[in-house]
Amino acid sequence: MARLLIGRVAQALGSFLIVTVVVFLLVRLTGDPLQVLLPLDATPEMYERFERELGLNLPWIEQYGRYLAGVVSGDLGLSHRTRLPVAELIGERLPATFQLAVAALSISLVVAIPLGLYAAYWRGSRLDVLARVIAVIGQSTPSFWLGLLLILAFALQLPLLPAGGYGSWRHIILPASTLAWFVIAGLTRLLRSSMLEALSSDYVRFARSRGVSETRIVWKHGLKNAALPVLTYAGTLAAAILTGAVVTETVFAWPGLGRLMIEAITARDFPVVQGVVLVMSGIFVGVNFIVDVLYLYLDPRLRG
Amino acid sequence: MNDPRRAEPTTRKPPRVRDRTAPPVTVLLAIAFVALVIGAALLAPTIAPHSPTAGQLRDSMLPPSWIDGGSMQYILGTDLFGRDQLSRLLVGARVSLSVATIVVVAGGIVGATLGMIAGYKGGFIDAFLMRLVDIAMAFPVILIAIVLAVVTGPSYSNTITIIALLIWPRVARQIRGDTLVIARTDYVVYAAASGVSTPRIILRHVLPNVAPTLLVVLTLEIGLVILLEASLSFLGAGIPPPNPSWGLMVSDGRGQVATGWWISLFPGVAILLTVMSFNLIGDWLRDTFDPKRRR
Repeated sequence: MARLLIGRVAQALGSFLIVTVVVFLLVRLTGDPLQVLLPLDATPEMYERFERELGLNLPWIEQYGRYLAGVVSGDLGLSHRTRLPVAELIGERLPATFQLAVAALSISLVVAIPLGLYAAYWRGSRLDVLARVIAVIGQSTPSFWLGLLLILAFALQLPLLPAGGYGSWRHIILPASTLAWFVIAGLTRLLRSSMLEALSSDYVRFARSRGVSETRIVWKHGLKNAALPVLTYAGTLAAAILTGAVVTETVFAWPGLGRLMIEAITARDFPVVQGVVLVMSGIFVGVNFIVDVLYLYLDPRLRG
Repeated sequence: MNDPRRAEPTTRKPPRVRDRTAPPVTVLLAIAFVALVIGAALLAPTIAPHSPTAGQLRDSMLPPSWIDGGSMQYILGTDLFGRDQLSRLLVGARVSLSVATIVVVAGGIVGATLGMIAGYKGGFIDAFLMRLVDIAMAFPVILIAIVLAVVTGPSYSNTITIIALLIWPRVARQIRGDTLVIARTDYVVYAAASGVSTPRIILRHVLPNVAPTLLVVLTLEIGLVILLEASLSFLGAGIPPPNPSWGLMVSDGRGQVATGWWISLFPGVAILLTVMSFNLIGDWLRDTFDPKRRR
């Protein structure tokens, strides 16, 4: 078990290291940050001075080495544009994205779990049809468009909620619902099909013959066995929420990591872009690592 | 709602055996809609009533023709620059479908080839290729796609390259799984034993057997490709303006949601219906080829 665990840790670290390389190379592939940073009439001397100051004149390997050493010690460099530490900028934006993700995930679970379970339980019923329609439409809806429609409906036509921005709980409803819509579709579909499998299994049949109540069968026996496929889906889910946040934050002017990244990209603010992608990938690799470990714990066959 | 106890609580209904030749109505509608979009894409230059990129500023922000103030000249209305939305929508179909086709063909060829090689050869090649696939799939790749798109500048060919890079690993993984099973069948083992070369085995024996899976996977990926292209274009990292990409059109309407809802509404509906149609067809194909998965 300990060896397997160490293996998983090594895998997670390896993935993370590859992300740092990919991001570092990507950002430096094309485009010179100094062209954006300096005024058009900048003298060659100014150019050189800035190049040296930002370390852009060093060989790539050395730039990467410095970068990695910084990352390990929690230093993500300075923003080229604002001259503020990147870690600080990200720290400011992280709570907003976190709130959005938690709100969206809560809405998704509250809607998708009962919907998926009972759609399978009452297979062929109107609820089941509704669940399938939601699953099909939800996975085909462009989220940026859904966000605009929600703004049109609930902020402009019926002025109930703010169209964008950050502050009270009322600000989070529209973006969180937008983000949740796609997740609800995927989760409902997955829960429905694993619940169908669980319901036709021997242990559910056996539980019924023992006279276990139907509610208990759905919520204990069904949900418990439908949970493992959902766990597998957690990695995909984390990616969907993180990348969905980029689009959703853009639509609703939500001051999170996604918007920080889009702003930084347009300004060619390399350290900030690198930092955001790094933090998001870190979260992502972390979630996958936890899922892997939970799997080892839940499924004894994997322990070998 | 049915009473669950009366509605067969203990046994599941046996899967309905559908006639292979008769898809359900939803799938027929989906096929019809896809045909319509393909038609629009092919004929767009001839049937579009106006230029998709040049507008008449004096006809700016006209609503659709059935609304007060709308004109029959512009059936779906115009945007801020007075461009005809119907023409943009039609030419937009061309953009979406051409991106989707190229990506799916390129990603399909690369993904299927590597998937078959990995599944058939096994050993080191398999381990290496699948590690590559794991890495490619383990990241929120769209973030990297956005970075790449903006760093290299938004363009038609960059959009295609980026999305293809996201698609091939997903194809490779599925095809490898199928190939593993096929590689162990008697006819493949005998063919290998009687000295048939590897490329020939893959082409003659493996490919025809993974073809149904490939068709299903690629159909389902088309929807994803269209959504990705629209999202990238919406963020300004996909198809560059003034080309009429559906995602870009939704983005154009962002500033005018209050006064010109039609600018964003129609392209969004087009994306939704097209993606949904491909997904419905893909799901149906999968159920038809693999009755065990029918739900």
